[in-house]
Amino acid sequence: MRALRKWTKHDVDWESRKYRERLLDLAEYIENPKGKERCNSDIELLEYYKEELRKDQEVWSIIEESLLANITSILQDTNRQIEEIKRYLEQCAVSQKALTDSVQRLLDLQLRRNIVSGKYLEDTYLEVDELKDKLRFFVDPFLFYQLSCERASRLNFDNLRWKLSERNEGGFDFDVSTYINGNESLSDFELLYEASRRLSDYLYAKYKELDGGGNTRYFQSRKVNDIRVLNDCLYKRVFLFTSKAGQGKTNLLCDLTKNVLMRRGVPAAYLNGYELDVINVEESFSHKMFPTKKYSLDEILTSAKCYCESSHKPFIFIIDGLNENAAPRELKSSIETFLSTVLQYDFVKVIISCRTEYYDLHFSSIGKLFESDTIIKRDINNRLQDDWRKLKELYFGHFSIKCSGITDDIKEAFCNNLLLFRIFCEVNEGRQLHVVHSIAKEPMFSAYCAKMISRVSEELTNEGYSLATESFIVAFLRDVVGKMIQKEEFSNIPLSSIWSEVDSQQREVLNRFLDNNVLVRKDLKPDNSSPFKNSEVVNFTFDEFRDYLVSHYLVDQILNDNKDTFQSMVSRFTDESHFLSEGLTTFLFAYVKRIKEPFALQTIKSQSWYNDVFRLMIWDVDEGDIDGDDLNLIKDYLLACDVRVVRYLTFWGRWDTRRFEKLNISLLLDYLSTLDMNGLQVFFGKAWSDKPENYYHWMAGRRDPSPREQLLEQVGKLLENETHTLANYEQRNLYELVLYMAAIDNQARMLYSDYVSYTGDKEQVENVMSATQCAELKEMAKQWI
Amino acid sequence: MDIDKIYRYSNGFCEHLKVVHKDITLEKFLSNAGLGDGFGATLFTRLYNSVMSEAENMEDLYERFYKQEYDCFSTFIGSKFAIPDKSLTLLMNGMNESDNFTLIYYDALHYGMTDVDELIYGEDYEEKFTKLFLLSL
Repeated sequence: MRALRKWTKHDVDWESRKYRERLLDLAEYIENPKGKERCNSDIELLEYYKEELRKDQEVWSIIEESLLANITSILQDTNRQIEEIKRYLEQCAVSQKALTDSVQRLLDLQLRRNIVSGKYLEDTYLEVDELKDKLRFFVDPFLFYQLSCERASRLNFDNLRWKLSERNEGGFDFDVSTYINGNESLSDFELLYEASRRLSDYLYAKYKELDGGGNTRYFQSRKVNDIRVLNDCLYKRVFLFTSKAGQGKTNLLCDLTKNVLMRRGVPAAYLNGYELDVINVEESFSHKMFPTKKYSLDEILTSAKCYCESSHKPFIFIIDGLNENAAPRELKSSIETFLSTVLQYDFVKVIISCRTEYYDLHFSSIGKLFESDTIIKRDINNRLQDDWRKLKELYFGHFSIKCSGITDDIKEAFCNNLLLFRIFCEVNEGRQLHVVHSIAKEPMFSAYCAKMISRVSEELTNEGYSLATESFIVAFLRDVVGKMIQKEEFSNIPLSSIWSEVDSQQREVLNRFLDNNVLVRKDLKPDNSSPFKNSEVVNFTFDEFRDYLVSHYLVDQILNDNKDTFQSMVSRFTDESHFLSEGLTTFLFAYVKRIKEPFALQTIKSQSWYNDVFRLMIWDVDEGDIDGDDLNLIKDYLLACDVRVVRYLTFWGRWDTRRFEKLNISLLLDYLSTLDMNGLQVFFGKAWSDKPENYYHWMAGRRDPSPREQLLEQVGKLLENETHTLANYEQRNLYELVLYMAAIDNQARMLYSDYVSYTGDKEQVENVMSATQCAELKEMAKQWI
Repeated sequence: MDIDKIYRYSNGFCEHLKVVHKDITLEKFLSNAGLGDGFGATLFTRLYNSVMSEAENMEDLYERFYKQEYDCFSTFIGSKFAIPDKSLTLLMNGMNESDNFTLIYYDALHYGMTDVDELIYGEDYEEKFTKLFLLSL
């Protein structure tokens, strides 16, 4: 090639410029054969040139020597590189394959374990707000750096500038081009972190420039900040999130592991808080990853470095539930040491979850110590109510539940407490449900307790805790409730009082049981002896769990021991001044009605609260447990025209006298037959008024339908199909109600005429005519015979 | 009457998934609306920018950033935006009605024209604007 160039220089004296360019072009071809596409003539010309050179032995031998020297140098370089790779591999005590296998095995194990324990419900995680995207940016930063840059480049401020110029308020500069690197230039993690940090700094400066400038600037500042917040996740090294017990931290981490890390090929090691050795967190990981070999974490990470750098994926350490560790005070400093060590490797990132109150008390120093490297996210379920339909779909799908509907107040209760929804689904797994208008908590908690005790016992037994039998767990719960009742302190049972009665093995089992948070949980309570001390206590995951268990303990334990004590405790704990009374009365009512224990029944019936609780709770009692006294009490409420009782007898399926054989609409219809015209007018005026409930709209001429109109509309819809027949024969009971209403209401009269003409149900008319005490109705009904 | 497709899904926070024509440009949008210049064109340019200037093409986003996590585009959209199955089916029906259609995501508040939703999704004009963004008015 050099010869060709030289030749070209000399040639310029006697050949045309055109030839010179041609030869330079050929020189370029020899330098870069993979450059632009060449025609055959180029190659032929070079071949010819080579042959010409070969003819001169001296020149050719110089060329050959030069070529040989070049090749030798290349071979020597290659040898050096091979030696370097060999040395590197020798340093890697852990082979790449062993590391990959170990990562896969540990993640599989953790997922399986959390599925078995019920902490991970596969495919139920609902992506609300940006949390999962933040985690994606965190665990796959090279890929999402591109997205971050694209989004930042796309930001448009034309409208803002237009508005500012209209008001003579100056302009707004925004140009991210100098803060964006092409991905090819980001060869390692340090460069990526630096580039994304620079972009974040710029976005933050722009956000601050826009912030606080009224509505015009507010939306613009928000969009800049949204991108900045996600972009921060690219270069931050620790992701820490906290929430209350049972709100889905493990579910989120398992979903991340299964659907993000494993699918994207991001290597990770996942441990639960209780698996951490407080003396040496690093060793906890290395031991779990390689149980049979003694590798140090340094050796493991040296091996991971090669994969992480070539694949551009970080290595993720996950610690789920710091609070689950039995020694939080010691763990705090170990975690700090662990983070200091692993964060020295630029390709390592760490995700940690913790219960909020434990984080605030024991681990908040992590956030402070590693402040510039840490993202802290508090409360993980912010928008559940907005995405309720999807949440319901996911959970009902997972538990194979079919449901006709859920009323708004129940929906709100579920969204405010995901654990309650979870319990509801666990208990109703595989069922077909009618409209859920109330949650029968007593049978629900009973079923849930039994299911969870069995599941936790099985899980712990499989882990080698042979003591963890179902009866051992039941005895523990009984002991906790017994202590509450004995001391009349219904929360914060000191763990120390429990530990003093068990041996170390039992203690280990109970600690693991408490960490599951399924029925009971550990809490922190300030210690009165010092403002800086806290003690661990036991509470139930729900206060209602406690009320439920207290009611069972009173009936199953205290009543068996001493009837008088039972009676006095029921009176004392259910007195309206006692804080237990609201929850305990409902659970006592439901449980005693279910088991029909005569003395307990007699005791609760003698309490002043009985009738009020009956009115609220009788609808959750199984039909088989309804007795004559209950029906008489319902009739009393009908006499008083109690709107709640009237509507409950009409709706929620109680019009179906085959499904509900005792507590059903017949009680209402029988009562209506005893009323004269005046009685019907008073009754319907109260039960289904013809005045709208929202008077403001009514006065403004845009009135809402009255309760009576709403009822008639609902019943009218039962006939609104092509055949004008009822989907369920029992729905004719609702038309009997309309017939009684027809005595005092024109709209009801018209609806009933339609019903008779479509269905020809004259039998109903004849029956009502013979039963009713209302002469006017008897006369009116003749038109339908 | 039951509908079998929709061209927009909103989560109620001014964030929209919207079916639009793949080749839509401001020029085509204005021409489809029958506008040359003047105030009408200025107003419609701002309307167009409110929707399109920062819009994210969801098919492109899926292919480049999310395909590893989700087996198909529809699952990705359903999960990422917490869309109930029935609405998701209708939206996918809308998008798949023509090979020329695609799905974008945008936040109506980002551009800064705060009343844009009332204009283009108001009862009187929603259908017209839907067709305009599909270049089929």
